[in-house]
Amino acid sequence: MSRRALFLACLLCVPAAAPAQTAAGTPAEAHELYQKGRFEEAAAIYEALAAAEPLEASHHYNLGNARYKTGQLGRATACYLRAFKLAPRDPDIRFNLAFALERAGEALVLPGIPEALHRLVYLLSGEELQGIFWSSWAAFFLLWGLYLLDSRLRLPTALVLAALIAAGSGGWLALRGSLEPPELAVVTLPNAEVRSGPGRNFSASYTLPEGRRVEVLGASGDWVEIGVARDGIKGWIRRDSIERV
Amino acid sequence: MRPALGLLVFAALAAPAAAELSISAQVDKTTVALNDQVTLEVFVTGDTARMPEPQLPSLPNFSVYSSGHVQNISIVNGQVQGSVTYSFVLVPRFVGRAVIPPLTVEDGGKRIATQPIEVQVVRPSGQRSSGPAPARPGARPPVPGGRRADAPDLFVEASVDRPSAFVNEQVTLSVRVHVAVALLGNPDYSAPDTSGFFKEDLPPLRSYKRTLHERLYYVTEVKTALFAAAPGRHVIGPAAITAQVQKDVQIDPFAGDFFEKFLRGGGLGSETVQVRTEPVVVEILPLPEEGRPDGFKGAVGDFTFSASLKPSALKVGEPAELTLQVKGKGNLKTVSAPPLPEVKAFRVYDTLSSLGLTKEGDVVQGFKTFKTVLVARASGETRLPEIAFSFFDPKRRLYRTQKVGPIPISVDAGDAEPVPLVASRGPAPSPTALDADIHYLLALPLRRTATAALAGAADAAWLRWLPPLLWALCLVLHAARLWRARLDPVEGRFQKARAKAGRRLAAARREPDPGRAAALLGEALTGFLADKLRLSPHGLTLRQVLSELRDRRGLRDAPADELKALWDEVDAMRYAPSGAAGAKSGSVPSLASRLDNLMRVLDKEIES
Repeated sequence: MSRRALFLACLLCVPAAAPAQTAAGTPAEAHELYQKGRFEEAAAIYEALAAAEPLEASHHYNLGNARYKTGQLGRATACYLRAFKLAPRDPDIRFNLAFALERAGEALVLPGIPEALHRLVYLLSGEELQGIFWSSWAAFFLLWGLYLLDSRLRLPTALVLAALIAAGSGGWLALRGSLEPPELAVVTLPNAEVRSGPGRNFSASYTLPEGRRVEVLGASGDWVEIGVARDGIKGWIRRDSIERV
Repeated sequence: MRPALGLLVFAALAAPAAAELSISAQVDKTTVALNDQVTLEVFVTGDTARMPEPQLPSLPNFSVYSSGHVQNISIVNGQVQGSVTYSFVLVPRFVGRAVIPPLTVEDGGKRIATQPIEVQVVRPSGQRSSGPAPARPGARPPVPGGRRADAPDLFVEASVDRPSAFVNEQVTLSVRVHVAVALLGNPDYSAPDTSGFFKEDLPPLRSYKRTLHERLYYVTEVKTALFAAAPGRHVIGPAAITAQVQKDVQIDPFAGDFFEKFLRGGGLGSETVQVRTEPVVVEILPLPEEGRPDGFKGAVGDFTFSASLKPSALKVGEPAELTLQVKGKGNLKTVSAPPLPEVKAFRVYDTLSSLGLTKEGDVVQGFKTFKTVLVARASGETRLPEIAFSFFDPKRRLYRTQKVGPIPISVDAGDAEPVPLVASRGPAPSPTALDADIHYLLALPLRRTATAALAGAADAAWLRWLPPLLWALCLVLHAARLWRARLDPVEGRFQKARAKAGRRLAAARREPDPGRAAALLGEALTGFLADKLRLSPHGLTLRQVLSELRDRRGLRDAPADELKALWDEVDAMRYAPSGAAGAKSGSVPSLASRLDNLMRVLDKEIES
């Protein structure tokens, strides 16, 4: 009989470090440029690193710092959001994202919501939650199948545990999905105009400050339909006025 | 603008210490010909940035034109000192003694005044003064020869240098008074209505000759710079000249009033003539919306923008003076200070401005300076961010933005405060927030957790659905087994023997009656063996069981011995009289456990 051991245990902190180097430069070179105040050059290297290793949160974070230092609040906020999606527990990423959002007139934690609750909801990254869900999903079905084949196995406890973990992580993912729009973008130009249609011949209804988060609803040529649910804004904006997260 | 000759007349200060203000005035000459002009300069100085403008008194003996003013502000050791110099061109209207009355400024309710200045106006000597031709509107010319009937003796015309201009772009209005006859006295000049425009005089008056319709005219030209405040069609009202024109009068020597007329005019008479210009229309265009920078505040012209910071190296608590200067051609009076970026490492004080205007070549130009004091709050190497100044260039018809900076600043720590001799009992000092900034870089990569890596592995749809498929397969196998059990009851008993015995053992553990519990234990054991050996449970004996197990199935000795021992114990418990040692309830759980272990072993031994 095959082993009854399951792989539901938490496999956290298994390092997956990969050597980071691109044709543009290394992280050390970028850090040195940043320290010397040569932010534009540092940003170029961080951008290449982030493209090469899109799942490494520190590249996005550092790119956000370099962009912020060059006055690009919107693009910096987009980078911080990417880093936060990958590593929400990191205190520096959380701080800088809150800082940048505050500059744009937003808040990371909505008023009235305790900071501790927000940290709890975002304790795990989306990837981690998905990993836990699919692992427990697989464990549940495999355990159940084994139990069907051999009822002598002492599996009910593990089965229930797997079911609870799958349900819990699935519910957590659903909650996070309801809090975040499926396609998020950030305004990258100051006072970007939101028009009633995809073209300059349509009147401008609003302007959005740089750094404001928007939800992407559709696209047409050089124009993108966006919405800001909190402010009740919906309209069209030039594609080069936003950066998708 | 410094006069060749200086004759200073100082005012009595008599000002209290509230704002030390002083005013003085001087003219470049105290004797002037009728066809010449006098430059009057008024100096206002004080320890305040807001200099009150001097009140110009009524000067009936002169026509007065403003030729600009220069303002300077300096900040020394935190003290503000300012000075403004106003320049006026005075053109005499009458020969004789003229007095420039005192000019006054008001300071906190008190009035400070200059001394009066006496100027002697004399007839022209025949030698023209240097510089521009002497001028006053309608100066008395020699009677020219030749005249045409359709050429008027006196007329005035007005024109602008451009029919359209942008908002706040300079439009130069010229009013030209043409005189071809002798005038008695100086004419009255009524300036045109220029509502809707900022106005700057463009002295000096110009005088020249012009032949028009074969008639010689003496022309006096007055120029004014106009800056429109709003777009649209603007109408500059008519300018008017009222003059007494000399006319020949026939005197009858035999008339009764002969001597009276002769003594009064001696054959000369006059006629009041008023001439007006046509209104002048100027089309003012709005500034374009497209391309308008965010920091644009209405400046129109051609400017350069510069900045300086002194000193650029200082200590905490020491001040530095940031000077921004806008220089060039345009209406500098309406230029406002460029917005300063937020610099939380410095305490920023109010910005003071000073203005210097000139009108060379009939173009309003000059400079405007903005001074701001910054006091360093923290040490370090920092920099003032870029400062931008945006304006509209009407010649190129586009917005231009000039930037200065970033300006590096080095701030050293200030002198440390002495340690107090007595420990303070006040509250502990708390950190003082100086500046807010983002956190520094993440020098090391963040480890991607294995669970996050699993999510990546689960991206493949087939991996996600494999476990349910395997479960379904197991379900199918289980169902097949149940079906087989249904078809073959004996086989079914065999498959379910373990589960059935387990339920009986659990019931025995729960049973409070020791006798009944013992019965359940016996039923569990015999039932299990009967089902596994496919024998009837009724009347099953140990010998029968051992024979089946040892002889036919080759059971090892250890489990067989354990089976025999447990069988005996169960029988002893079942059939022992109540109250006997074998029927103790405390032995049921341990016996049940031993039975369970034995059944697990036999379950493995008896595969089919």
